[in-house]
Amino acid sequence: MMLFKLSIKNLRKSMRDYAVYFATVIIGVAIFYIFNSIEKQTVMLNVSKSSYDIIDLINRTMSSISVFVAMILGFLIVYASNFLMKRRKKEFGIYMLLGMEKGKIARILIIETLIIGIISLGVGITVGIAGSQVMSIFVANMFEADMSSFTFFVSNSAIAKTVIYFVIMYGVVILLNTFVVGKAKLIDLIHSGKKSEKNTAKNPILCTVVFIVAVCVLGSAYYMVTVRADQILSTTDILREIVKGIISTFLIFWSMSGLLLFFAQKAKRFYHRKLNCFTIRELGSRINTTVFSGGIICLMLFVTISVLSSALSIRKAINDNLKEMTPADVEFSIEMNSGNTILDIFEKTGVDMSIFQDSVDIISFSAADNGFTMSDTIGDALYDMEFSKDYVEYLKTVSEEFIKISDYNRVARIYGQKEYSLNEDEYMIVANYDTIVSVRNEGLKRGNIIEIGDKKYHPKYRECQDGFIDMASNNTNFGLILIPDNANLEGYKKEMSYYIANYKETSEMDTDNIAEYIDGDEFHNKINPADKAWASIKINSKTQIYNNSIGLTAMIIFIGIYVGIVFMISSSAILALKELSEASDNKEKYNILRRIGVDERQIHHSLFTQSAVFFGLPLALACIHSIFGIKVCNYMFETFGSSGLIYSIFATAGIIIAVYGVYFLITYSCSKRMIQDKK
Amino acid sequence: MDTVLKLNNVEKYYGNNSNITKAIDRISFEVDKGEFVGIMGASGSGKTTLLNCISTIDRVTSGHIYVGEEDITKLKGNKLNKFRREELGFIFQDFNLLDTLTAYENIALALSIQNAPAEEIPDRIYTIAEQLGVKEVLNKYTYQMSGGQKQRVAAARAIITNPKLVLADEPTGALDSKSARFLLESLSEMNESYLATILMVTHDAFTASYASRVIFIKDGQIFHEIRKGEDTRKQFFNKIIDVVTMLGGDLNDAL
Repeated sequence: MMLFKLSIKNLRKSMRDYAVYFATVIIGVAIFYIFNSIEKQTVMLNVSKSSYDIIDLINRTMSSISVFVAMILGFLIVYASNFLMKRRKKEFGIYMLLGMEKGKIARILIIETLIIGIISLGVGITVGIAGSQVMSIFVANMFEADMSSFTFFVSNSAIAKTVIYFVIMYGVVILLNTFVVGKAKLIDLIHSGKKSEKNTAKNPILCTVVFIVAVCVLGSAYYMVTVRADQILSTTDILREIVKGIISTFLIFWSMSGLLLFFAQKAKRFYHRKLNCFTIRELGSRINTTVFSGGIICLMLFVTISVLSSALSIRKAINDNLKEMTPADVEFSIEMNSGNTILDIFEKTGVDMSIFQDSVDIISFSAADNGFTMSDTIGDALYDMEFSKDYVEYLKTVSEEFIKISDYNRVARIYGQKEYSLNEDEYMIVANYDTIVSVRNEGLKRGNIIEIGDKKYHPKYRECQDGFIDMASNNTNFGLILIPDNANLEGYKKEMSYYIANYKETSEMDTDNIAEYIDGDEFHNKINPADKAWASIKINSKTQIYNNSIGLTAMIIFIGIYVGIVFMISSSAILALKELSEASDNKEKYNILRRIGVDERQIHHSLFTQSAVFFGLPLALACIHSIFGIKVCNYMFETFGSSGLIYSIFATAGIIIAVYGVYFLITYSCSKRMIQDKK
Repeated sequence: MDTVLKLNNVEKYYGNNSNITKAIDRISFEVDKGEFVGIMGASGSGKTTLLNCISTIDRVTSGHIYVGEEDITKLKGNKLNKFRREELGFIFQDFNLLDTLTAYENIALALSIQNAPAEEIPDRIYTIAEQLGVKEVLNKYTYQMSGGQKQRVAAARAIITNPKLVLADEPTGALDSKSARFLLESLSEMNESYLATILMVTHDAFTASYASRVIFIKDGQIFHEIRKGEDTRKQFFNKIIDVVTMLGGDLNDAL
């Protein structure tokens, strides 16, 4: 009973001082629950079948990401408990001095961890249950679900999962604590009250050199991933740049304080003004003792910023693109190895053609031996663009697809796109996948002449024109070569057959029914029977693309928010813990300052500067990383377009400033209270 | 001579109505400019409370304390801080140096919080450091210095702002005898060459013997006062020991 009382008393004290940390754990539990209860949320809502498939995918993705998130939260909890343990060594020393056995001390710790665990799980899950109801509204909006049948719900499986994961984490904490107590020596415990006087100041010259080296390494990594991004193809290349980035981040943190001091001391007027000298020294020692966690936090913030802003910009881009990219109701395509066009197959399988209107059917061609490849349309320019050998080889294997200009114009008419005309000896390329467009433009710029059926053609335009035939949720057209109708296509085979149409209301079905029918399994099996003698017909319908995009958007956003928030609160909590413990360690220093007559206002000013720089430094570096990181993400996801970039950067900045800012303000006001003169 | 410090019926009570402890019970005395006054008393006699009241770290219950013309018991908030940083210098038993700063920066801080011009700072520090024999350790951190060096750095910090009054609370308490002697000689020199007025609290007769006047406190009241006059330090020490003996067993540890 005595032990229990001790535990409770200790907890109360540390809960007051480190409330930020305990709040973070509770938020962590809540978020963990919310994202694992998405399955339950969607079951409760009336969503369509196709949405449900997507939700299933989201669920599975969330489960695997949850393992990763659990590891991050586990790291935070273990780090923090280790940290709080260190601060209580003196207390344990006194217990031991009074004759308490180590076993009993370990028991106190176990009781404490159990209490913290139970409280954090209890409160966290409660908050999570409340939060998941709010989340449901968000989910319902996203999947256009019917909210009328919505009821209050609790997901048992999510609770079970949350409890299991956190029990494991706290189990690890208990083991570690017991281990630390078992190993502790009384003399160390008693003396731990005296601050280890360690010189954390570093040689400023060395710091400057290291800093410059780190900046150069980082600069080269930035350069490689942006300016010369098209040359980075293999995974090892990417990994090398990432490792360079990570190492230089740590080196910058290592050298930062020395550099800061070096320059501050040079500015004598500034250095010996009010408390500046004290502030800079304190800051230096704090940065020096957090090189490792500072680096980790910086990287976590970087990932958060990149993930959040990419997620938001992809979502925006998808939503913006969607209308433009799906101008007709449905588009069918098939490879013509069997010689059948779409219409042939529809006839064979008895598809009712009265449900279609405004229809267009066309075919495309390619060299019979697939010998006409992208390298032929790019021409000599290919070898002047400094591509890696692998990439050049790859371009030599991409067979080109040709379409007669009048056929393309018929498609363009139903799609509401620009129509073109060509002279006898002209060709042109329509494409919208940015990377390929820029490669192709190099060839077109030089007026690369191609040869079809012994006749030479030169490009009408000096760059690719915008356009596509395959409907998709994003820009995926690598390039179609448009040629005059009378081109001699001897030695060319029919490559693809396309059929594009809008739905037409019939007496039995309205257009919504038709859309459902076309997207359904029945129709799919009808035109692709098991014993078919043709390649599978690909169906791109407006409704399906919409649903898939929403699913993709939802997944990207869920993952972005989930990982982003967990990363952000974890890193903020670590910074807050460090800052608060510094404040309590430095209480005496502030008392000294008070005794020699420093105004309270100046003390607060110094404390504020210290906290602000300490919080700001990892964020600032993370922001610089992100400028380049986002560029890389853009490059990777450029099929989605980059229309939403500014919007997403502002939105991300808003989220980060809100969360990080709240942590900073709470930490500052708590540490201000801690250093207050008790008298 | 000018009076630097004047205490007028100062009282300090602790506790509440049912249980009052009189830490200081109507104490009055004056200190003139350039004096080196020691205050002696056993643990619990109220000498540290007295010093805290004079240094405005603690507030008096009643009575007045004048430093120069100013009644410091009437000061509040930032005026108090201004008073502390401009008129007082402190030397503490446990040094109270900031461990992240070098000795030089510790001393400079006292000047920079007064907004002293940055150009003046180096010269002033070198002069005082020379005098107190800490010039070699100026670029060292506290943990690289001996106790004696730390306390002399603290003394330099206390004196560099030319305060009206230097308050020293058991300055030799954490020092070995050799360092203690060196420090006390430094304080005497500060007293003589800068005409610094020093008020030093101690329970050690040897330390007190460096003062020019010693005030004995017992149970919050002034018990006795002796002046060095023309005596040698040794003779003065013997006189102090006599009083300590008279004071009873409480101060036996001074022997």
